[in-house]
Amino acid sequence: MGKQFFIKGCITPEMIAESIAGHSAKINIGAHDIFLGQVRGDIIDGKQVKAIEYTAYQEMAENELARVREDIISKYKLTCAHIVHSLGAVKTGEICMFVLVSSGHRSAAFEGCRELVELIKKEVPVFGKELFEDGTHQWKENII
Amino acid sequence: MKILFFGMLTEDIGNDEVEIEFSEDTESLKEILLNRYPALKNRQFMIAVNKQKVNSNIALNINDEIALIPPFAGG
Repeated sequence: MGKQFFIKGCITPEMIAESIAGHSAKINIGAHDIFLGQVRGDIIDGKQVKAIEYTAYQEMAENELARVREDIISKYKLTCAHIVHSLGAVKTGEICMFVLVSSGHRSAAFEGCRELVELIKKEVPVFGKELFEDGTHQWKENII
Repeated sequence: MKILFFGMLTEDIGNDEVEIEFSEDTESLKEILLNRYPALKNRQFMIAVNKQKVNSNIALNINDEIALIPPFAGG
């Protein structure tokens, strides 16, 4: 498939714009839905998260991302689906995940995008270390 | 056999991989690891064999790729 799911550092608005622009030739598309995950500056015990450092069991994560992507494309008969996730440190306020789902009509795009994001959070071995301003950290866990 | 560790578990172990004696199945492997690294007793983790999640006790081969993976935080 040759898909690259992971990039080092944050996802920029330019990358997202380019990805959208790349679909203009696919004229069977009538709807896109986009999910963007942004690093939230939670305050935990009085300390604010300044960044999340992401790591992954990368080979397994790539297999799982490919599997959930294929499952959702066939379930919702999507035209295409793209997933990009950050590795390494992503600062509070920056984008750490980008999911773009495209289909002929809106309902498949909405539902497919939502289910794909839920599956990524549940099935893909990505780990996040929340870094605080004072140099301490704690490990994040997704609430499923 | 080589065991890979990820996320918070690397801090409990002090490493991201360790070599341990051969275990016949995932339950006996878990027992050895919990004895050797008591900090794991307070952790939630899952075992993956050859990059597949394991939900029951399965037999292991010497060349299997075994990993302990903590709760996920992607997205």
